[in-house]
Amino acid sequence: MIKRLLHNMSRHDRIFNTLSKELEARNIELYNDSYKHAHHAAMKGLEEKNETHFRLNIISPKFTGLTRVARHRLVYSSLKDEFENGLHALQITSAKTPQELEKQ
Amino acid sequence: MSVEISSIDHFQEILQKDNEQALILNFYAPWAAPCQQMNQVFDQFAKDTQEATFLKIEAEKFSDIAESFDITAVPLFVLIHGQKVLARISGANPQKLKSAIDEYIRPIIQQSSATPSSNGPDVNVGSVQTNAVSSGASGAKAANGLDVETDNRLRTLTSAHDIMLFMKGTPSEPACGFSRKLVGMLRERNVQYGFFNILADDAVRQSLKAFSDWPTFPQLYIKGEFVGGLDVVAEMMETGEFQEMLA
Repeated sequence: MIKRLLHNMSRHDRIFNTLSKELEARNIELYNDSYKHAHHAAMKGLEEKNETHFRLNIISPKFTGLTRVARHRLVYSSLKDEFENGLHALQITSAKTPQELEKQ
Repeated sequence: MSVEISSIDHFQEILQKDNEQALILNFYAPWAAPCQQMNQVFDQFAKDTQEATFLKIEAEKFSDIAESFDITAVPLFVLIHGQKVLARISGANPQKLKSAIDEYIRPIIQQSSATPSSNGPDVNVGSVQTNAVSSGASGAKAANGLDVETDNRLRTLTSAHDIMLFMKGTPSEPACGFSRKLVGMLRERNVQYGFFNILADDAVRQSLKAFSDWPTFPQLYIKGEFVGGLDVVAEMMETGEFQEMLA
C-alpha cells in the first residue's frame, strides 16, 4: 500500500524523502539533470526519461568519520531501490557533516 | 607438477621424451599481474592433472620458442598432443583454461592411463589465491555474493593495470559525459591507465557493480582497490590525494 503511494510521488521526491529519513540529512540540494541526458542512446524508449540523472549536495551527521567513498556508498545504498528502477546516475558534488559545513 | 623451462635444450628434451604425452604450455611474462595469477592457477591444475605435462615458458626470455608458437600476447596457453596443437587459450581466464583441459587433454590421458580418472577437480581457484575464500566447494560464494569464479575473474581484471578505469565507451570515444570527464582528467595529469569498456561486456558490467559495491560507472581502481567514481576522483585530484595514491 505504501509502495503504491510512493510510486505516485516523483523520483525527485522519493529520493528527497529517503535521504532525509535514512541519512537524517539536514540540507539536501537535489537537482534533476535528466534533460541533459535525454538524448542518449541508452535513454531511448525509457518511460521515465526525465527522472534518470540527478545531482546532489547533502549534509548528514551520519557521514562523521567516513571516508569520501564510504559516504558516497552510504548515499547509494540508501537509494538501492531507485537504482534498480531506472535511476541511472547520481552525482554527489558534496557530502559533508554539519561540523564540516560550519568550518567552511 | 608444472615445470619451468630453463633452456631451449630443456624444452626440446621434454618434447622428444614422449610423443604420446599431453602437453600444456604456459607462455608468460613475470612482470604482468594477470600472468602471476594465472601461473598460480596453472600450478594448481598441474597438481590436479599429473598425467599431463605442464610447462611454463618465459616468453621474452625464450623468444625463439615463443615465436615458433606465434605468441603475440601473454598469458597464452597452448595445448599439444602428438606434435599437434589442439587449442590455444589467450588471456587470464581460469575457467576457459580448465574447460580446454577438460575438453582436449582429459580424453587423451584417460585413454592412456590404466586407472579411470575421476571427473576432474572442480576449479578450486579459491585455494590458489592468497585472499581467503570459503574452502573449496564449487558453487561457493564470495563475501560479495558473487560466485568464486566471477569474483576471481574480477580480481584479475581490476588489477590488470596499476590504474584501471571501467568506463562506458573507450578513452578515444567515451559514450557518456561522466566517463568522458574522468578520461579528460586523467589525460590532463598524464596518468597511464588501463581501461575496460563495460558497454561491450554486460556480464562484467553487472557483476562489477556487486564487486565494487557501487551502482554506477565510471569506476576507478588503483592497484586492485576500488577508489571511486567521477565525483570522488575529482575531489581527490583537487586535494592532492590522488597524486599521493599514484606514488
